[in-house]
Amino acid sequence: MRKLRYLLSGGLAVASLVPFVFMLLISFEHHRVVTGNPLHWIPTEPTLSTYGDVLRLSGFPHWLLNSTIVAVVATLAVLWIQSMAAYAFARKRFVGREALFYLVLAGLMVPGSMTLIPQFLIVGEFGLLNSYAGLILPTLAGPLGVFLLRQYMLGIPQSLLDAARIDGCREFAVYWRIVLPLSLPALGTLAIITFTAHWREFLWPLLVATDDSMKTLPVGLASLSSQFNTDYGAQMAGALLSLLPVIVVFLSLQRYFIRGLTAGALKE
Amino acid sequence: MIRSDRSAYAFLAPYLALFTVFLLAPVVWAFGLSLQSGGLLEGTRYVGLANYGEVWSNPFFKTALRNTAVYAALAVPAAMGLSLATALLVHPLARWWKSLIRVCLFLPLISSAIALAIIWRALLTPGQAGPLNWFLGAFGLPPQNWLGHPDWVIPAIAAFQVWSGYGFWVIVLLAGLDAVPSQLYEAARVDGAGRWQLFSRITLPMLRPTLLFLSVMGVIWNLQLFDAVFILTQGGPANASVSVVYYIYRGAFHFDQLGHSATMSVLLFLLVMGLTLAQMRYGRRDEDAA
Repeated sequence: MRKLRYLLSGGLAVASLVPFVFMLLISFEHHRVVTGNPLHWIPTEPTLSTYGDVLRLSGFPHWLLNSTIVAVVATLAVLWIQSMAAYAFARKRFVGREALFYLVLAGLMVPGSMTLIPQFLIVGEFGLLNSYAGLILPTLAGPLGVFLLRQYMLGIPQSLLDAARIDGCREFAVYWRIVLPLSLPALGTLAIITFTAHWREFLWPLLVATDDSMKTLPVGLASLSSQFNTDYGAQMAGALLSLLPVIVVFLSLQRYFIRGLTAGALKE
Repeated sequence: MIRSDRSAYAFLAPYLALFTVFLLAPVVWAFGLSLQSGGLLEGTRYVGLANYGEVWSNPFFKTALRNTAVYAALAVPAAMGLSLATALLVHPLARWWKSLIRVCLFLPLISSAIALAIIWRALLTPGQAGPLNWFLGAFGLPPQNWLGHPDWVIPAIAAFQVWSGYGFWVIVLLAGLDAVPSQLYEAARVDGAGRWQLFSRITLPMLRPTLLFLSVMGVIWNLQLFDAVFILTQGGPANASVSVVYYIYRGAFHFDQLGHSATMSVLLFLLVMGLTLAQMRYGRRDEDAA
């Protein structure tokens, strides 16, 4: 009975990996057609020139750089800006706190597709199409991080903040030296959620980055199929290369990833 | 420390500025656009609620709404059944095995849907040559034009959605199963409960809040389906796979009909908001009952 459980669950896991294996095998050959027989997927003359083609003939290096810049900068900006807001909401008294917090919280219910058109018009008005600022700024407004971090910061003992103030810490130092270090677990979770979301994001960069040199990886990949439309090998090589960085990060930090993404969605 | 702390506003300022410009203003603007017709090129004019009236007469509008409902109706129960079965299957097994399964199921969740859809497009190649058709042929099933036939295209994309998202369901359900106190099972076994009774009287009721949460999240995700449609079908054949978000995108950025798209986005917002509020309400009632 137990053996059967191992067998069945192993089968399910393998089934979820089949497309990845398929991608890997196909990527080692310049396939003109994809055939059903898995024996034909095993490359007879394995080559890395599919990878070379993608890296040389397409804008892939640009896309990789853009994705990295957007994901890293957006993650740092979200951590900083949203942790400051979360600190104010969690630990400070001021006029309008409740009303403002509920307004921000209501923002969690707004689907991205609703703000899409106006955001596009606004970014266009600012002249930020095809710029990193245009790719990043609108994504910093999502309230998930403010909400997650506020919940966490509510649990920091008041005595620590008071002690810091008595020791002469200015307001910013209390936030920077006390609150931020104590919130590291929540910041880590938020960093993972934000980074992954930006690495995967498609629709917004599709609209903002129309120049090939400003595309992020998913947008670039989508255009690969028109460039290499008969070369499945090159397409798969591109898809695989785009997944590699996240997969490596994921495998090394998987415990945090699983906890982080689960927490993020639970709160969403 | 009862007086208002003015430094709070300094901490809030950067975020509130972004929130106002890129979230609050766009929401208000979207409502405004939904009362207008036309687009960027020909200019917009105020038409009142006419767009909302058209929802019921415009066939494309209705198709997009209906397709999206069908996506969710197929994908959510499938993901729920499959993930519940998987979680129950894996839960009693060794810890390292569970971690391994979790990692395998998690890979699609961190990958970009675009990269995954590119693979699926190859797997779903029509005719005898397609890998999926070859596989089904081994069981004597006829080949299908998965993405080119109006009857198959929605189930095919829904299957993609289930495959790429169900790992998340499994992981959340496994956490839910961990949270069921083992004393409950022990006590029930002492009282002579059988396997089925343990499942239906303890496991299922204890998982109810998790399942409710997951199904609402699943519906909300599927309402926002876009990436897979963009790569796999571009909405075809003959609009058979157009989703609500694809409609919004195409209407605004290809057909220059900002008003129609904005109206659709407002309807989507109302749907998502309604679902979220309903879930919060039921969730609270569940907690009260517990």
